[in-house]
Amino acid sequence: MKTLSSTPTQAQLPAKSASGGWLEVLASLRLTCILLTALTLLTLCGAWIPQTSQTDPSELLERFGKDGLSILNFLGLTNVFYSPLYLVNVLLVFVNLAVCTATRMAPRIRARLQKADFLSGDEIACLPFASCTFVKGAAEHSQLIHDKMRRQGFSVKTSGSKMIFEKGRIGWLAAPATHLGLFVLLAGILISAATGYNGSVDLTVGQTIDFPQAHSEKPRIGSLPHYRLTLDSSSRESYKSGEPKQWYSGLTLLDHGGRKIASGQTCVNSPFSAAGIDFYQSDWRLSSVKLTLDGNPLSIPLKSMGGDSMGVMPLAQDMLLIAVVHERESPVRLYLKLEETPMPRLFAQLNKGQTFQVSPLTIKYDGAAITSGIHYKYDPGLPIVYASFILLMAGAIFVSFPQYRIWADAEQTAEGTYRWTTGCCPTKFSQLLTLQAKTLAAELTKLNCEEVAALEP
Amino acid sequence: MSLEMTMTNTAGISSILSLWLFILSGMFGRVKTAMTRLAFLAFIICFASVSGAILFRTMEAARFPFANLYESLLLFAWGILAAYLLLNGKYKIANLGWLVSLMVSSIFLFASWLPSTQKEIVPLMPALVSNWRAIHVPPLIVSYGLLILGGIMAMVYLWEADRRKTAFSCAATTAVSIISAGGGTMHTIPSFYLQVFFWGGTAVCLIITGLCLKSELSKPVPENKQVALYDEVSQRCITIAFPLLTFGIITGALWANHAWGTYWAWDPKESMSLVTWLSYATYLHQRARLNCRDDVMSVWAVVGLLLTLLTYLGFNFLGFGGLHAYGKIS
Repeated sequence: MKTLSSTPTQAQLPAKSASGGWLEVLASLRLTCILLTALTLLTLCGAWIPQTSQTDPSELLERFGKDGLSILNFLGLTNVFYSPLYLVNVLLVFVNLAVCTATRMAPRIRARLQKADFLSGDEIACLPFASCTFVKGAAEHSQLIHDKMRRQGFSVKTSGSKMIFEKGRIGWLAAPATHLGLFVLLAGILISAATGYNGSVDLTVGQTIDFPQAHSEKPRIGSLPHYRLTLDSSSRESYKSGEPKQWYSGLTLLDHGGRKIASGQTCVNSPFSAAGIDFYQSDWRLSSVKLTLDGNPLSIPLKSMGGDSMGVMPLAQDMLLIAVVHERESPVRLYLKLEETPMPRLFAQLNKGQTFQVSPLTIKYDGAAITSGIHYKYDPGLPIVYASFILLMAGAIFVSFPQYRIWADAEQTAEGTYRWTTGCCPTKFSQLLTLQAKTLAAELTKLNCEEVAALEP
Repeated sequence: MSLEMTMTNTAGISSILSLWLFILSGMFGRVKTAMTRLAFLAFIICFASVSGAILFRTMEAARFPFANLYESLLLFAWGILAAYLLLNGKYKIANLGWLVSLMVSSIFLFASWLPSTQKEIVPLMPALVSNWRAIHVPPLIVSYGLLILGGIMAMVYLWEADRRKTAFSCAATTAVSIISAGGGTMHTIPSFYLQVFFWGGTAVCLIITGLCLKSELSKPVPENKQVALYDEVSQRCITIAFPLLTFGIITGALWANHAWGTYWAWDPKESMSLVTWLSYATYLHQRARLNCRDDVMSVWAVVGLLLTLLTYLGFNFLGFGGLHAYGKIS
């Protein structure tokens, strides 16, 4: 197959200037492929190497050792997605995208939006696949070819002797939709980053927290509102087997003066929205066991361990009190661990309000406290991000539509015969398209062939 | 035995039966047509059974399935079977039926080997109790099936296009990644060694593949309609899978935003799906270039296959953490 740089759409572009060389490099598909490959490799590194934003540094140290970790840190591989290398790569992708859209895609879209971009015989001859046949008559062949291609599912456009056979017309929208989607995504992300804020708070029932006091990423433009959030209630729904099915938190949002703005419930997969802020149930756990030891209240912090929550409290130099709770309403199991005994010994199982005497100590179980983890977010860029998702999705769908375009022209020669030139520009599904174009050329040859000059090597 | 398990076993047995029938059809020329028809019959029984197994599991669990590895493997097999049946309808690639049967029977053998805890219907954790699961998971798993099928077709193309050394090394690279992921299911090999074997082995094999391809680039591609067809089928699989993959990633982002308030958290599996998406986006851009070579693109499709395997199975088996740990074998 003959490979030439000229394509029908490029033929309609203005002539290249010397200074436009760098623009051509920036707009090139080759650069796109290089940048996407680099981005792929960097993302692969980020996926494989645990990132400091998600992993405890001690885990990284354990995994890679001190020297290995310093090398990874030096190369910026422990924070790949925020490293200058990654950000510059993303920036270059967008520069490439912008230049390509402006210099390559815009003329193509313009050409597409015109009634039809017919090509002359000479222009068709410059296409990567082209063939030329000389025939006696033009009109009768035009009609025959017209009918034949229609039967094969092609739509046919004609302008005098020029013809375009087209199939899968929406296929060309893939690149414009995807490119537009990426620009819209960038806009949405920038708006979110500039004006949005988010944060997480751990609340116990009845606790109120001021927004500015909470750990939060403050917006670059604007400030955090002076709202207050109260956790009114918190509960857990369980399966019959005892495993958690859902966690619920009742919330009230108050303004600075303590007036109620809204109240509602959030659970996992069902955020509560008020005043443009979304509240998510991000965590739910038993945070402490409340005991009374000889009349003195005591709170033992709990940590999740298997399906239970466990807390340890030193009672004496060689004695540990271990409390284990399964659920908020379930009894607490109390163990004693002495230095000389290898295993902790269960000495009491108490329901809420129950007491136990271990001479000379009286222990009362006052219940377990719950901590509800609430994530909140104000994200004005989200609708734009969602719009970009729709565009990206549309672009990806259009990719799967093979798009075939075959150009033909019958020009009268000085000898009175007609030169039928057919050609195509095979990109997607090249084999099938070339086969169609070859079939068309063969049909013409078969019909009334006087002289055949195949340009295809 | 439950109805769902009976259907799964029927699917597994019929996939093995179709494999043998496809092989026999190639060995005995005189009864080839009859054997191929029988193989297809077994293939269709397999497809119907796995569809039934998914349906009965849904009814038994009273929820949408695909919440663990075993359930996703059923859908993975279903996706491959459906894709092959559709592609065969359009491109007539019955001669590759044995390859698809081999893939599907391997999936069923792997699924049957999984511990019983995977096969039991267990309550879902709160994060998975969402309709988003039914929207996010199926397109992703079906896209994985199609992308892997596309990679296999690319290897067949390389073989038929007289790039035998390249085809061999592509197959060896795939074998290395499957073996290392398989090693991860044993729980006996430390994940560090598995990762070294995976990355090291794959890298070495890919370098060898590159060298083989370089040495075979000058060879002419046989002027054969069948050869062009394999390239076409491989490309078709990828162009159909790409929108499904995009849809899966986007719905995952929407779900994450709905559940956790962030649509992208650079979780290892999320990042890996982006890697796969980027690699296929590059593939499609390369295909848009006028002078792209079909043999180079076929090797690219095999690299995509490796990345897809890594995204689907590798990240759970090779000891990577993240929010998608429910795909792990505990």
